[in-house]
Amino acid sequence: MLREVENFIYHEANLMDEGKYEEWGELFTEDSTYWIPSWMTESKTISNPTNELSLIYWNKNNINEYVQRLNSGDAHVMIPSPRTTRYITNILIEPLNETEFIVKSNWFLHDFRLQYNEGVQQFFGGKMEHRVVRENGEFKISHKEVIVINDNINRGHLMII
Amino acid sequence: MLKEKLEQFIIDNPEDREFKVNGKVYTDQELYEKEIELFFEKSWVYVCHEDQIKQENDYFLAQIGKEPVIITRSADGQIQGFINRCPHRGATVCREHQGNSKSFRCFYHGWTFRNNGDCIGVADQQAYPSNFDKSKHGLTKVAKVESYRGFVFASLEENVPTLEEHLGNAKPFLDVVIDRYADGIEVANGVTKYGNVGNWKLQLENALDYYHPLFVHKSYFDIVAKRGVKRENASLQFKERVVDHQLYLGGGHGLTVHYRDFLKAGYLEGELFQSDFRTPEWEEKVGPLMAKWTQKISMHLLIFPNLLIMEGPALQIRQIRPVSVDRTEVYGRAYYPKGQPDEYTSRQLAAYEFLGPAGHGTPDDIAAFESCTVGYQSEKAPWNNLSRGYDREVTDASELEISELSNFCVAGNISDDTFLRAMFRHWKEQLAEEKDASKKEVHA
Repeated sequence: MLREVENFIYHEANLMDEGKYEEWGELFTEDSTYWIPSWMTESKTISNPTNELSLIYWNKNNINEYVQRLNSGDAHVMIPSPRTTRYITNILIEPLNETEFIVKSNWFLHDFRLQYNEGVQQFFGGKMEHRVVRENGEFKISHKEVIVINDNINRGHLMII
Repeated sequence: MLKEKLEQFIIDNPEDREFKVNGKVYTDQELYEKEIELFFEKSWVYVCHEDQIKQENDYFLAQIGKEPVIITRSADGQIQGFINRCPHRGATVCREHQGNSKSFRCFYHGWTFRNNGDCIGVADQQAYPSNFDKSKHGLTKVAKVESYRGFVFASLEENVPTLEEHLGNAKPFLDVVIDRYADGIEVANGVTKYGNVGNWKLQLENALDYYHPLFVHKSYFDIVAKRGVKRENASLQFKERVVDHQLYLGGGHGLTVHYRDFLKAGYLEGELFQSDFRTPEWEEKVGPLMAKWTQKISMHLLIFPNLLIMEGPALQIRQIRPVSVDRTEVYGRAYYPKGQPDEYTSRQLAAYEFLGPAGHGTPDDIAAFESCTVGYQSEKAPWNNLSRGYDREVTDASELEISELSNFCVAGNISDDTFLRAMFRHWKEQLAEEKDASKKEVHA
């Protein structure tokens, strides 16, 4: 079972790399949240997304809206389409019960774009935590929290992780 | 040379309603260095909000032009600024970007400074010559640091107009930002830091440009439309914008004005997006003029050269920092009415979905800056056309009711280039003047 949970996390990353955003969005439960907090100080991120600033704080509907935006052809920052690879390591799975798991991992994103002059490589990394539930034999994400270590996004665009 | 460039790069021909800017104004290294010197190192710039240094002995690192600085609030509450450079061997005496400390100890050789700049400790001082006086080796002060109602500005140059003079016609509009609410504003914890390829001026232009949103931000307007509600403030028709204005205030400052009930400037038509602070006590406190205008307008306000206050469903303080001629850094902070119930604050923060490097809007603006910067490499097709709305400028302030709040130099339709033309005239004049002044000195 733990192996399946791990595969699910890799599967999610692959969907984003392959640009299958709709399928990616479908991985989230109806009551899910996706949160990327901003940093408050060098060592501390914000802790309350309802009165502090986040990079992303979405519910399921917002996730669908983001997918709509990416697929619209009007998300200009995605043109030409970035080439990305997401690497996930150090996976630790903590079963809460038969059907619920906390998955902690480290992530790394390689993002290459044919833009300004010779093209640009960007690397982002950090830690994340998924709350994965098994619903009718399928895994879904009910909460996802991503910490971005290098939060100075100096080309102005952070892709979903 | 600089003066020739200025003449060459800005074509301003009122008879033919022609206004052209050469792409080199965004790429020329010599112009950029002069801009930094003149607008960032010899004038007032925004450094931080007081909420970032709330407590006694709080400090915050900033940069003014090329100078690394520490902004401190000393034990007596005074806000000061110092060059973050040890007078001994040059290391930065403070390396944490924010925190709380009464003193700064240089980690290189241990020299120590109080947060008012005084040198209070030199390790093994007896080894220095007998006339060595540590009181002469304090941190170098930033000439002026002052807060205007929470917004902290600084000037490296002593000989500048007062901060209020610098704010000029922009001051009443900054008052509107604050006086809308009974207890003013509060800056939320956290920051979105991002940058872009492209000259710093592109950031300013874009914030006051209502010609681009329908194209650049279509994907976002479609999202909002799909929520099944009409956005009161984001009509997809230019003609419906005819009533809204763009004002140039002088000194490089400017703003866009939407005439609408700000409290309802949410996504949902008629929805109250912020708590209503409009009580009789509030009205008495701010006076009738402010009471009227705080209810009548919302703005994107530019305090030249580096502060943008973006009023919309989300409220944002955007601080611009030029990094090099073609690189810019931005610090975006959310603010909200002080004392507002969390329910409204969370809605405003949710509306930040448009902003920041993971937002639905900001990254597309940045893609435009980058794209323009590629275009500006062209020598064969160097011109930007800034003539939009040249025929419908209002130069007599008394023609617009808003002049009862503040005077302005010129107004145009919100989607016009009126602000840009005026800003570039100011820009050219300032840079040319500076050159003249130095020439006089040489000849004298």
